[in-house]
Amino acid sequence: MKHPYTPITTTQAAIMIINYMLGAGILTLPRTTVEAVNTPDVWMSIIISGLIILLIGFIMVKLCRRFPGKTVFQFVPEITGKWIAMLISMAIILYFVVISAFEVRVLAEVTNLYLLERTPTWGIVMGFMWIGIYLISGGLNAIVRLFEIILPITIVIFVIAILLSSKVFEINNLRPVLGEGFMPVIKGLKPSLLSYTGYEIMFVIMAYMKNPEKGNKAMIWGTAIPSLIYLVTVIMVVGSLSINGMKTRTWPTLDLMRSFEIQGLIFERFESLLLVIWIMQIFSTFTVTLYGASIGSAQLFKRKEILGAMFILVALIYFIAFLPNDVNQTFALGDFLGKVSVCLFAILPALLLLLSVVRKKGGQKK
Amino acid sequence: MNIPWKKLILFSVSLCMLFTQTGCWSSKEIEDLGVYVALGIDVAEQTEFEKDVNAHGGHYPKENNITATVQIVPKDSSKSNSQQGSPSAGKSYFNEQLTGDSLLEIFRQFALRRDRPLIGHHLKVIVVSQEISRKYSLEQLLDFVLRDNDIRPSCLVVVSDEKAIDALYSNDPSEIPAFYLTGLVDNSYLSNKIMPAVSLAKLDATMQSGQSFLLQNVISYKGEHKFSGAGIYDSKTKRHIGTLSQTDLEGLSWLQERPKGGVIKTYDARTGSTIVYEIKHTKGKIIPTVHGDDISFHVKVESEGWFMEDWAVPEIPGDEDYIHKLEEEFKKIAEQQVKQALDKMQHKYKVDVGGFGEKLRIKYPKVWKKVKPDWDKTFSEIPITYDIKIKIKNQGSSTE
Amino acid sequence: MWSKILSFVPEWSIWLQAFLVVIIPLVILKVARWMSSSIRKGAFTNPDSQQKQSSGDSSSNGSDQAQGIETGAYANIKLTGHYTTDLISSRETFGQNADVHIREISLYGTDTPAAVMYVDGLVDQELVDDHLITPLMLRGVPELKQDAFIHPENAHLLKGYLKNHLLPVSQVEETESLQELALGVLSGKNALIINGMPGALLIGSAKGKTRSIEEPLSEALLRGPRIGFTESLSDNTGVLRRYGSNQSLFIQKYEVGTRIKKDLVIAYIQDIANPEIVAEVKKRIEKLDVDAMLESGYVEQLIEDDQLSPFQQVQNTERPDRVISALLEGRVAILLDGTPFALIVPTTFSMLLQSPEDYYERWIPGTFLRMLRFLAAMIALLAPALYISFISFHPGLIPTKLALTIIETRKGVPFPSIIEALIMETAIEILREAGIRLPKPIGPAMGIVGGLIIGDAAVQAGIVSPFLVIVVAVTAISSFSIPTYSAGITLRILRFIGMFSAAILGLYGVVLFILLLCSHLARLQSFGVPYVSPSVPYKLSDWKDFLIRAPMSMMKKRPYMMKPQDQDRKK
Repeated sequence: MKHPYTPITTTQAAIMIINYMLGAGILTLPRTTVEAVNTPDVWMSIIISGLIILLIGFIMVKLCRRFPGKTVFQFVPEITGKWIAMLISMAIILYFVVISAFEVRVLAEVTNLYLLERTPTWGIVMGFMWIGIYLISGGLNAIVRLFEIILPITIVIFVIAILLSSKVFEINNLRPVLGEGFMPVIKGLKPSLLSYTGYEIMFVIMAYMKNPEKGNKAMIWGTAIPSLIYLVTVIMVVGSLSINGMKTRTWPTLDLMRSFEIQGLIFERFESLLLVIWIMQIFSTFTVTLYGASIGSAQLFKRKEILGAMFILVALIYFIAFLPNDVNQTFALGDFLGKVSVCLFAILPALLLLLSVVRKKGGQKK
Repeated sequence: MNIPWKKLILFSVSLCMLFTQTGCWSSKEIEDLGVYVALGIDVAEQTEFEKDVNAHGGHYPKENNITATVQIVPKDSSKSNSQQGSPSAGKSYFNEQLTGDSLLEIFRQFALRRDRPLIGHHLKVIVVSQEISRKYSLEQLLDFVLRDNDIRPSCLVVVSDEKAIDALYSNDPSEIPAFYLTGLVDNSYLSNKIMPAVSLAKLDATMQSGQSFLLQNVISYKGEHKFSGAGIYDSKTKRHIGTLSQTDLEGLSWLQERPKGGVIKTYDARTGSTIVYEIKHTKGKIIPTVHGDDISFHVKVESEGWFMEDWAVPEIPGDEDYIHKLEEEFKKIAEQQVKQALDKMQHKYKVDVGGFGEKLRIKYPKVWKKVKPDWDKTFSEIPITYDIKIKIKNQGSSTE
Repeated sequence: MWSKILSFVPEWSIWLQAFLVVIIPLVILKVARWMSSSIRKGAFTNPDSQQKQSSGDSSSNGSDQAQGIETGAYANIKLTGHYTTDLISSRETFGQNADVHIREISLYGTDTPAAVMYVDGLVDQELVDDHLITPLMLRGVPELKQDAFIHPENAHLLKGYLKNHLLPVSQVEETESLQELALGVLSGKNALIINGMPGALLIGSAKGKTRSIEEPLSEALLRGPRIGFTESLSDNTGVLRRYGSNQSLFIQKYEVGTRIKKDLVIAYIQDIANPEIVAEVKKRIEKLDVDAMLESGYVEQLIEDDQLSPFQQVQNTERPDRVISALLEGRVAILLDGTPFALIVPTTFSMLLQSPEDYYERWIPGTFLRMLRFLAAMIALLAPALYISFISFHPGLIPTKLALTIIETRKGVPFPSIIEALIMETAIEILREAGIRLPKPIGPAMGIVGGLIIGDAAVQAGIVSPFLVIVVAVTAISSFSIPTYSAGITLRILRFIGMFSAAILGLYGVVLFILLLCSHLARLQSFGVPYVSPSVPYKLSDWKDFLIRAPMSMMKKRPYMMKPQDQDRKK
């Protein structure tokens, strides 16, 4: 249902990006990057990939600003022909759907492992999806408002968790800096790029922004804050567990929270806090991707209501979430998604921008 | 026939909702759970009960490799009620033992014997006996523990001199050995004869990094325990290969960078009476130097402390000279300790447990990469020099 | 290759689950839509709004009354100027009521017969005696003018002369129809019919017994004016005027209810309130169509945005200072005759937890108290749910020593934690309901009895564990600290839902519950203002009044969320 919406402000757009980016990646990012880099210099990879993503984001913003008020599904047919546009749109929709499914699957895995051992997976996932549907049916503004509520809670609890884990932090685990030269840092770029998937939502929401010319600002904030959070997480995890300890842990960030106890406080164990905010972040990522996919399908098939598309997509997401047979296949799916995101959203906007300039489609930027 | 569609759908949906009520799948009330706070791993030795039961056909295919002991708290109230009248028998915990070859299977065997399933969330300490860790590598023994989603990586690991079961037994009925042991570890700020705590997370990291390491040793006798020395574990086999005594640990503590407490005791040359120096603050630095292929270490230690006990009769006034003399005395003792520790490390056991490899890694990563595979051997031939400075800042409340 | 692909295809149970995932929300959606549409359709709205509306301030003279369509008994009977006819028709219609009195007099000077009709109990005796009957009987029409009135053609001048020279009364209305005359008399006005005067005059208004102005019981404060609204609308608007003496305080009157007509008043400050909000309020009130509007609660329920939501979207209060500060923020107040509870729209979430005391104290205590209230609200909502999830699902998350104590104390308890918690919570709720209706001397004692003895007895009997008693007691106390009663009820209801979701899915269930609640709040709007303002959208200046209470000199602007016309508080 298309509620009459109020345009979203720049801050709200940034918040959408932040919430989308912070998702399943936080838990696995330390391990995947360390496996590739093998030195304690992973934090450099994170900073660099953040900058790269920012550049890609700028290209995207520029492209969107040539077509004010139109989402990607609406302006791609103008740049390329109708059939190629349909292919591209379907690829993007499929990408959103698979990311949704991936997040749901990771959620099910971690919840099953650490919180609810004997609950069947459908019990965990179904309620989650229904609440997502409920939220989306309130329109874009409801989604944004919820994100604005969740984000401060997330940040506060995250800061508390990090401060607490400084008890086991040892700076020596992070040294030597650049011990093996710069090459390992480059090797670490690929897995870290994967965790930055989230900026692509700008393709869809720039159309609804109040001040599209401030899109760049939203992009900067939207990338800077998750970068900071990832950076701090990786530094704390590597510093406390050390590279060797981390490589064999499946979910290093959680293990960091479990590896210390503080006697005398209300909770002795703090992994519950981290799990709570992590579940909320996964929810936000799931909702945003589902919304993006629904808008895409609705606009692709020229309908006004997104509700119908949403229900079909929910069933599809459920299927795909259960496709991987075990945890390793799930991680493989995640890696694959990372590669796809680089192609679709790094290369594609550049190409489209070029094409639109060459073919002189789209208005001048205001 | 007019099928009332609306009503039918509403009815079937409500029926489906009822399915959620069959749920509460994972819920298990806390009093129905058996919380175990300590785990002991020993060489296999079947208890009476097991031998008896096995004779009656209650056995299952297994090799008797280890005996696992779990310390369950709190004690069943029904049991303690039956012991009314005997004041010493009101223990707050009880130990359970079973033998087998897989930790997980043994735990599941417990389910056959007790009505409360075990949960490892509150596991505080794991005691591994010297004997078993000589037979099997620590990685093997602790593999289940590292994988389990219940057991927290904050749990401590210690080695016991004799049997682990003895370490988990206590004379004092009101104290629970697990809490007692973890409490002892916290005392490392008081004495440099205790190692800093080794948690599972740290242990895993150290084992993965291929270094030799130490684990705190526990000596027990008739229900009383003492932390004494440390067990040495070889980097390659992860097995127990020897022990460092308390004094060795003292010496080792000078080389490490953590600020610690402790005392140095010496005897006055003239009168033979005891003089004691309390360490307040120590800064130790290991400086690796590499010249071509030659690696050498230099240890610089600066310690500040208080001069706390003097048995000299008559009391010698604490003036500058005396203080300087004392500082020299203490320095000699410290150097002696360090020499002894290094001796054991380099020559007797040929392992590096002092963290020298780490320092080399940080300063000369390329060199480290070369020597890493055979580090223990290389280490035993590296010259180490040391330089200790002791400063007495304070003489306490009496100036004489 | 083919088998590899096949190994990925999920089995049939997954298909079934996917089907359910889609169907169940679809059905819930349809049901919800059906429910809200039937709520909308049925009740109490007049599609073609033709509401009687009398404008102007309450202190001005009543002007023309709108000519409505009259229904009911004795409709459409005009009053002739003939005295006896009118008298007889009055007598036989509403005069049959035992409490209607008719006093016949004759005008001094012209000796014209006249009659005064009034209702016992509603009459302002002083007004009737001194200002109505006295001038008519003792002064009457002076000699010089008398000729003018003898002639029937000049009868219409009589009215003017009476109104302008003879009747020293502040409220005078004219009427031509018997129906209106009846209504006027029965609502407390005094009727005057004179031979030769067409129609009748309605003079004065009801002066029944009203309550004196005293502090409202339900919203007592430690510091602040001890005034509350009363049941009489004119008293209330008078209080508002005195408080907010400003010419831009605009009061607009409506009449609601078809059978029993009551006056309803909208108050707002003209150059502050957002005109869109005011227009929306007016539109919704004009659509109302009930036979009797007994309390402002009726109005509240019929004009709110979402009737299915557990959260109230219209705030009610008895305190004028709350109303005035709300008006100064750009909100609109609705007052109804017959109830001291005024309504304030639009409402946002933060208003539920604020109390005027926050502003009367200095900012440090104010901030402290506000944060305390937020914490208490969180506890009141989540404490039992967290208890259930920790005890039954995640024993590993409790500190070890506490876990051991809990195990010891729970040894003899036969019920799982959810049943335990339900028992105690239900008992507390029943106690609370009972406590409201108990007479004053027993009330507090009952509270202590209930709290201590029943809780203790339950523990002794082995039904509940002592830890739960503490949790329930803390929850109950926290929910008392919420300043608005209606919000307290909401939290109590939601607490039960939270407990159920914790019982099914533990901590994860609690998180889902929080998400569901926040999603609902994010969707809710009250008269166009999002319910969760001012925390979202992020507007730093609004945050000064949300969790903390910034020093007075920093609060220079009005809250942005109302989009007021005049942002600056200093003017």
